[in-house]
Amino acid sequence: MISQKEKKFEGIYNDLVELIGARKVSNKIVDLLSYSHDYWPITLFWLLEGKVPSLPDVVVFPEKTEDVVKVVRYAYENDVPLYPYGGGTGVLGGAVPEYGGIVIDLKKMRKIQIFEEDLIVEVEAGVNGMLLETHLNKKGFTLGHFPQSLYSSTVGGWISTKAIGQFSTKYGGIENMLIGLEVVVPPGEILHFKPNPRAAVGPDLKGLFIEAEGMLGIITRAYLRIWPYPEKRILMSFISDTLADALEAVKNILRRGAKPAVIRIYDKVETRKWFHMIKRAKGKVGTIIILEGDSILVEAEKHIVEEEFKDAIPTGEEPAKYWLEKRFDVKELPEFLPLGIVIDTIEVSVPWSKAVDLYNDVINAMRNVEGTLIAFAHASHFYPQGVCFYFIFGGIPPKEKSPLDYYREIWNATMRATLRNGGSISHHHGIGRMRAMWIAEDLGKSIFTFLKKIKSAVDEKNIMNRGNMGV
Amino acid sequence: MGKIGWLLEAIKGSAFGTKLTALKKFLLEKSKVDDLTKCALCPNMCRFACPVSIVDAKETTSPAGKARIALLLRSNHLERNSDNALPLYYCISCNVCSIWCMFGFSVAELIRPLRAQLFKEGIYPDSLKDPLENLKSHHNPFGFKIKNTNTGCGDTLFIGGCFLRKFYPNAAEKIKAVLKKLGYDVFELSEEFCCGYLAYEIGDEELFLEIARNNADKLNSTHAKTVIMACPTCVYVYRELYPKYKIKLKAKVYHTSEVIMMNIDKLEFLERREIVTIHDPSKLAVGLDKPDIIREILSRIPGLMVRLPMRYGKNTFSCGSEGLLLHWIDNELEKEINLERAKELEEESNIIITASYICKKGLEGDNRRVYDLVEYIFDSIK
Ligand SMILES: Cc1cc2nc3c(=O)[nH]c(=O)nc-3n(C[C@H](O)[C@H](O)[C@H](O)COP(=O)(O)OP(=O)(O)OC[C@H]3O[C@@H](n4cnc5c(N)ncnc54)[C@H](O)[C@@H]3O)c2cc1C
Ligand code: SF4
Ligand code: SF4
Repeated sequence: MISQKEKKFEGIYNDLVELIGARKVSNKIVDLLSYSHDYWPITLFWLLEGKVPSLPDVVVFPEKTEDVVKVVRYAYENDVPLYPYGGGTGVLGGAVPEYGGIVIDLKKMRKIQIFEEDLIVEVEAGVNGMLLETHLNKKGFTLGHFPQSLYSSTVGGWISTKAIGQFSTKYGGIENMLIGLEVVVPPGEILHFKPNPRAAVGPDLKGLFIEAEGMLGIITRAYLRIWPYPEKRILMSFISDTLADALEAVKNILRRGAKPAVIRIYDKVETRKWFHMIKRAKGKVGTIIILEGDSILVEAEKHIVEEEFKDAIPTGEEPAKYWLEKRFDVKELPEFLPLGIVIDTIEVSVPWSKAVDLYNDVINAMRNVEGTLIAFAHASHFYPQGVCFYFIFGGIPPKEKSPLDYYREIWNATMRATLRNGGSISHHHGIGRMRAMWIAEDLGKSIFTFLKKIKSAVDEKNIMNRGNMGV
Repeated sequence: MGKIGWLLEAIKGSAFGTKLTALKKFLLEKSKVDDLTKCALCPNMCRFACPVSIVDAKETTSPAGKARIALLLRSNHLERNSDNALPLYYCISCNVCSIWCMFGFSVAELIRPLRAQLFKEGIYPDSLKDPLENLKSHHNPFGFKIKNTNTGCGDTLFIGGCFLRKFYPNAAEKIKAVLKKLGYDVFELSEEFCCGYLAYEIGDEELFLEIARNNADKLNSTHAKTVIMACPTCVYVYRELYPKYKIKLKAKVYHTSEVIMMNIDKLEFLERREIVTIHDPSKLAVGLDKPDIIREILSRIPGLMVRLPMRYGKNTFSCGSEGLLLHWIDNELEKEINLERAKELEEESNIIITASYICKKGLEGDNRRVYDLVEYIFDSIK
């Protein structure tokens, strides 16, 4: 039965109640349990068995930056680990309170203010993604940031994991949207990076907090670029003979300066899912393209797309419509995990010249792990320089292996294949606890050491997300 | 190539043994994975639409968070006590989650069986004990007697409901006047009893059934052919829940908004040059599947401009007071949700029209004029 066997830090509940008020602090077992995990699939597997990865001692719910300052100062003075929590949709255990202590949930901080003339929105860190987008749409704007977790994740989480949305080829990742920031760093100081279109005032320090996963400070506010709501949208799709053909077409589209909002190239396996309504798609590679924005620009982009996909077969709007309808449908894990099928996704990035080799190598590596049932991928984020592959695997651990063993093995096979093909081990999910063992190899020893130096300079007592990234 | 066919295709390349195990699991076990488990494993994809989750802003009271707690309580991985069960009552059964859920689940319905089981074990929040006692002793959760004078008999019965009788006792007269214009000469019961929704929400199925049977008997003995109610929750209970428990009513049950819509041509409206906004009660928009009714009725008033809030229709955002559960469980949170919704509405206009006295009360405030639809119609007809 789940219970808090030992308190790792005595007395902090009462202290925190005194500091910020009883309604903003909890040590109830149901709350500790709710914050013992994020959406790291293996921990959900454990949840079904009634096991928890790690319980915090208390959870706090700040309502304003001053509350955060008080909590950070307290954690610093008393050497208590502090774990920021947004929507808990991180998929790598980045928010797991590994060493107990305090979880700080930012979701109560959810004010939104739009500066229409400047095309800037000021948001508190706990603002829910879908609410932000709905709010902007109501006023005639869009952020253009649509991660699949939009309905559940928060702005603070996006910045802390360097998230990216489905419409990234036009609007970019969160790093391209972020123009100002407020962060609370140990021992309890507020850093306010004022919003500006661009600034050259020393090194880009606010960039330090992008993909820092709560290890350097707590993001309390952000200033993001917004766009007028798109005037026109065009849906297209094509089928190509090979993955290489589809990648080549997209590479050329980007080289010509066109920026479709959405581009998704499915390998032959996944094409069957998304192009199920197109008979001719069997054995082919399907691509979905969505263009949006000013109608004149969009028409010009359409022309470029058609030219570059001239050797492929156009398959109309249907696949793109189907994708738009199903893009937030995440039924797989809830349906398959209880059957003992371990499933997960792994996203990596690679330059164009190595893209096909990396894809083939990773798929083979995944399939070679005993127990693997499915392994397929799509490419869904593109740059003039290269591409992000999003691999999906599912498997049934063989009898002699635990789910965790199988899970580790397939992850290791994927990470190794990525590294030997010159890829980056993460494109947008980040590192968390799951990828910690490969970060040093990806960055190289000296950069990893540099990262550690920065961490200890900012957070000398290592209170912020202790244990994350293996730093 | 079917929508599932691609998966069979995808597993083709895997080892024979793995494939076989997977197929067995798929064919024999998949249907056994119950909905609560699936919801517990969801990354909270309806969270943004859930009023409790957005305002309370805690994982524990998020839709999937509640499902997780329910799952662990059900499997006895978490001790069954009223403290641990409390999050299950942080749900106002607005069912808006079901509009967004890819499975079509309503968290309220998923956790209801567990609430009922826990109730049988004597586990439910202490704060609900008084209203439950009142329900038994006074036939409504507020503990007062509802006595009406306009009793008698006829074809059409009007039921104000305990909330209206308690907090807006004079409202019934305006409603009856509007109903008269619509052609309904109504009578009232000498003593009105609560529909029993609170018992249903708490999980006291026995009491709910007793109340339901009693109400049905009373209604059936009046010979009324039509029953008109001021409260959409009451209509939902009489029309949707009673039949689920095989309790039959002879009369047809309608909400006031529905009878206005049905007879709208009988009303002659005055011109009203003002800007208003609307609040769709979730029980009306989602529960009774009438997401457009307030808008449609107001569109008949000449000169009136209705500005829609950010969330409306089936995607409405509850005022937080519906179902009244939060009122007793966590009054402070109820007030926070009230204010959140009121502020959203105020962005459009400080004249707010809704169709429930519970919502009216929840949304009222210094700078706002909040009307029940019938009240507003009363002021807008010749
Ligand atoms: C179904 C699903 C689909 C997904 N799709 C995408 C996708 O399309 N694109 C994508 O990029 N990601 C995706 N993800 C991953 C995840 O949603 C993102 O990483 C997201 O940015 C996490 O946000 P969150 O608010 O849930 O953060 P959390 O999971 O709560 O936290 C993530 C990390 O950030 C830290 N953190 C959170 N808030 C703060 C803060 N205010 N200050 C400092 N540190 C903080 C936490 O400590 C943790 O280390 C998906 C996840 C799921 C479950
Ligand atoms: S109701 Fe549906 S969308 Fe909401 S948490 Fe449950 S499964 Fe997810
Ligand atoms: S029924 Fe309403 S309050 Fe309950 S979980 Fe669903 S959206 Fe939230």
